[in-house]
Amino acid sequence: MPASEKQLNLPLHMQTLIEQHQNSLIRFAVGILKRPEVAREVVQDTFLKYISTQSTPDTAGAIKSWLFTVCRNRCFDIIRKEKRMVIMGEQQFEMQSREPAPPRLMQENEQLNLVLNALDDLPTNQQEAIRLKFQNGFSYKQIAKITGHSVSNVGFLIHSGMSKLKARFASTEACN
Amino acid sequence: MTDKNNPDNLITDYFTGELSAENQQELKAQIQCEPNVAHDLAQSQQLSDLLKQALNSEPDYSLTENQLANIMNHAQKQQESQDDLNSLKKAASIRGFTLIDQRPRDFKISAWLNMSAAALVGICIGIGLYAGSVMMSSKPAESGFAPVTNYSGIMNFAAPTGNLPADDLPAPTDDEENDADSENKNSKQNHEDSLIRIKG
Repeated sequence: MPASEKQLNLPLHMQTLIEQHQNSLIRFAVGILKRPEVAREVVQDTFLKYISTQSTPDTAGAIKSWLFTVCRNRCFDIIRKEKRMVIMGEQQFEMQSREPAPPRLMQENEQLNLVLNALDDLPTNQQEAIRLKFQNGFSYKQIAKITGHSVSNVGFLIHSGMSKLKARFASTEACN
Repeated sequence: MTDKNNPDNLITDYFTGELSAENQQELKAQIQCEPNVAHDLAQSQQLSDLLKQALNSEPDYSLTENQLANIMNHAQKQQESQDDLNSLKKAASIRGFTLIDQRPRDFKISAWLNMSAAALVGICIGIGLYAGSVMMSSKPAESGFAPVTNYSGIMNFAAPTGNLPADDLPAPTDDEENDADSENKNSKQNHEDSLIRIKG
């Protein structure tokens, strides 16, 4: 999708972008924030920022990376803000409406549940690297650009995450 | 950088599609040599497939109607302002003028400028302080004194003089008080005498 399309017909360009990326962006944000409503807000902000930013990338791949980078940064901004709120007053934070977790427990396939629960137990940086790789198909280089880690660090994060998942999967298999 | 000697790393890279041609050969060789590697590969294959399946089985999400309307509204406004700017540019170029875009530049440039200016000011202050301290700690060569390199003089000022604090002084005896009175009287008399001499 060329950048000129953004300049020529922004509403149409945005429509295409939203159709293409809203689901994957919200899923990614839910993976970090665990709350779909907040994730939707984050993705809305991401698209608004794309509209207001003059120097956005040209190619479709670069636009996708740009959107994920902005979305990720916004998610971590929210997490940081909420941490401060917890310090200021834990009770106030508890009173905020919390959405139910995604209907993961409703899934019939036990093995898929097992993998997703094991993924949730991984450290956030390993989770997001695995999600970006297996859910969104980014390369190590693109993940490095999105997360701000080095390429070798991304490889390490994915490898350690996969090793932990494999160990957990193997132990559960052995129990069964 | 993938560790060639660790088959686990090679297997992970294989399933993430990041295994280089050279490392592919290495992995093949390791599979042939060690049966454990082949087993690990099969297990990783199963996990990788499950992971992809599980992640894709997560519920589909979409923005709410309000959020979509908000985004499209912003896009429409931005488009209108862009169109206005383009038509202005066109009109200006027809009349032989060039429209100068005075909208604020990217934040990055100004941030870099601010940072370099702050660093420059910091360096200047540092040099100034250093030069000041060097000048304060040395005396002019014309005076014939060697530059002071230690602060023993200052230390001497700060050293205790041996006087006791006023509270700890013993109360004066009667004789001492009489001596003090007579000293006061003598000094007063001397002062008066000198005044008389001046007047005279």
